[in-house]
Amino acid sequence: MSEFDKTQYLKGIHVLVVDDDALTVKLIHETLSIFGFGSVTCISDPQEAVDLVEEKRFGFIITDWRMGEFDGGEWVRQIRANRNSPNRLVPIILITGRGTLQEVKMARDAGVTEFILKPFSVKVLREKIIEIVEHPRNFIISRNYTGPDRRRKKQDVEHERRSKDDV
Amino acid sequence: MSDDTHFPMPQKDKAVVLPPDHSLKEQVGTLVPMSYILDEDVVKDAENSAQSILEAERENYLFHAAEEVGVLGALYHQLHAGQGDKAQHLKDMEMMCLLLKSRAGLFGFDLAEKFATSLYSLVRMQVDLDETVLLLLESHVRCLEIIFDHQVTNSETKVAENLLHEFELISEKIRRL
Repeated sequence: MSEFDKTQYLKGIHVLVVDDDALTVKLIHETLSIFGFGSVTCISDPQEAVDLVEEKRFGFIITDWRMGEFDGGEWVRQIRANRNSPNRLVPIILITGRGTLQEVKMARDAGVTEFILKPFSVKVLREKIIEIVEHPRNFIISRNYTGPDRRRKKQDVEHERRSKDDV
Repeated sequence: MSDDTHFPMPQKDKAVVLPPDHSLKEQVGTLVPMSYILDEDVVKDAENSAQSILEAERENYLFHAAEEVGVLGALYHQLHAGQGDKAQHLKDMEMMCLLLKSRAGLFGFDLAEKFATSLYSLVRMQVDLDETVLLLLESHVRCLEIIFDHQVTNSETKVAENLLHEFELISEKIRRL
């Protein structure tokens, strides 16, 4: 009897990877393929990615922060702010060599769902993917921030957020 | 949540909170935990594959790392001599450090990663380039040169780790000035 192929569960999910470093792209692409993701689109030109995410919805997106002069964090902010973007709610994983507390906060405030510090690790990528699939967060739309809830509460929120006028 | 969900505009001082989007989980299958799909065997296969890719790239990496360290050295000399655009040199140093630290850990150069990270933090502090700071920059660059000249990986680094610890203490003192 043949062994059941567990990775078939992921075949229908389309992933976008944006990074101008060929080695990182190769590692991520290979890892996602072995994990079982059916379709992995890899783009090294960030402008091409900007156009693509306006047209097509992905399961999730992995992007580098800085690609030349291109600011991946700012791009995430724009996706989150765009009411017409098919990827507005889609989980976005930012991968970067920048890991100071200030930089992590900047990424979080841009609307990133998860943050991975380079060097690349299969185990860390696995953890982040499990997190975005199993524990999606509320999505906040406000004047100052649009993106996944920056709190990582595991329990349900009983009440709607109240403004100061309601108190 | 479907793509055509209407996004309500937040009113002044109010935030709109949309419930979690479970569509990704629904695509996978709600009865199947991801940890079951991405089990130890799958992770092992992926790690082995990544290792093969890295082994094939190792020579290329060492060549480029030596170049990057060379650029760091040249930038340090420019800063020390007060030549060129100081702000640009520091920005270039920052980029070289990011490149070095992003890849060093992948290829087992854990100590190089630590020194590149320490140098990155130092360069970003934007302190005045007095003799102490220049000496610190020089020491970081020199250590990186030694690491790549001799291909020092973490297993051979007790002395160098102690040295890094001293560097971090000095960097902290400068940060507090």
